[in-house]
Amino acid sequence: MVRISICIFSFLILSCLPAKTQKDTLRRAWVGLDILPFAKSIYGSKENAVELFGSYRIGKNRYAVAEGGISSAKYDGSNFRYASAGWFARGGVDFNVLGRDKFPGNDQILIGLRYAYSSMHYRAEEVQIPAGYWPAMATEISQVSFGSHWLEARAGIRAEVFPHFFIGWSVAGRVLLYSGHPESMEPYVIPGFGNGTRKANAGFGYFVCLNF
Amino acid sequence: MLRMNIRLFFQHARLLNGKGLLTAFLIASGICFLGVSCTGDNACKQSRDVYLVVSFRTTFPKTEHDTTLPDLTVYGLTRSDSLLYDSARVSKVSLPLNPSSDTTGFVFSCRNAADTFMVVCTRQPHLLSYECGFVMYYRLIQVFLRGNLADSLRIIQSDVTTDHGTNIHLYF
Repeated sequence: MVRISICIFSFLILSCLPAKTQKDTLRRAWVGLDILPFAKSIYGSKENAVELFGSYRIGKNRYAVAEGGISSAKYDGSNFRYASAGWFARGGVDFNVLGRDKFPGNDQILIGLRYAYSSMHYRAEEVQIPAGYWPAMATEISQVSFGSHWLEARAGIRAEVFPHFFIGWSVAGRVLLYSGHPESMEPYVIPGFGNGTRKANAGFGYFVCLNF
Repeated sequence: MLRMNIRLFFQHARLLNGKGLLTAFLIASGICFLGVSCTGDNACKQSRDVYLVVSFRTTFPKTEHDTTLPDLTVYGLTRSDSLLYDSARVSKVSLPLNPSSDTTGFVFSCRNAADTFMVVCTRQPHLLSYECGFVMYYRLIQVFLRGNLADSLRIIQSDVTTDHGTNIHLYF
């Protein structure tokens, strides 16, 4: 329901955008911000995140990309309270597969690859082992720090709304290569990767960016 | 083939209502990805029970095989008021270890014989899943037997988890 309302609201706003004349006036560098985490936090997501990216044209249709961000998460389970925080960085390349000769203008369809690393710490408090035959006991998992890294394939669209101001989305397929978390507790969220209980994740980003 | 499809997609989009609509269309289509993403189910569907499983074995008359005790009573060492098994006919027992202590004792009695069964282990809280929460996992270090019921024992699997496999063979 929340996602449907975001979709409808965004569609209404975007339908009001003025038509524009597209010219190929791209500059070499881009900086952007993923705004989806802000929308999620409004609707009570357990994760809070900020993600920025920058890219630089290194060939006719090639871009070197660096992304980074911070993330924190809280989860109140049936018999515990969980909290985590950390940062992540990604590096890779994007390719614009939209041919300029056929489609003059600045809109882009990008596909790319990333290598990513995340460092985070987590802890669990108020862990209650429920009573059974023996009495219940209370304990905690003290703070543990560890790193994770993964590979990511990316595809998305970047469209020029106003001169040098772009908006777009991307989908990502992520495969976890390694995570150093203790065996006794998988992380709820790995910053930049998503669900920490899975070895593979799909991701979605919705961003605004400037070309300069 | 992919490039051809993309080209057709953009040409159709532009014909609809000018180039500005293309931008809006592309972005709106992206947002609609949100609507098809999965929603989680928060119900716990795993067993949360962690038991030390003790199987009864005998080598009588020659080869080793499972055996059944006809009239077995089992309770925790300080919990004689609360029986785990009451005059039961069983070939194995599932025993809850004490999550608050590294040592748990049980009393096995069968007719006129009885044993005190002491388990020494390490404990580790384990997050089963975010839906199910924490349970206590154990790793057996030593198991002692005192009394006149069983002959000996052997640790088969030292990790006591939710998998409910046999941890100890108790020989009669």
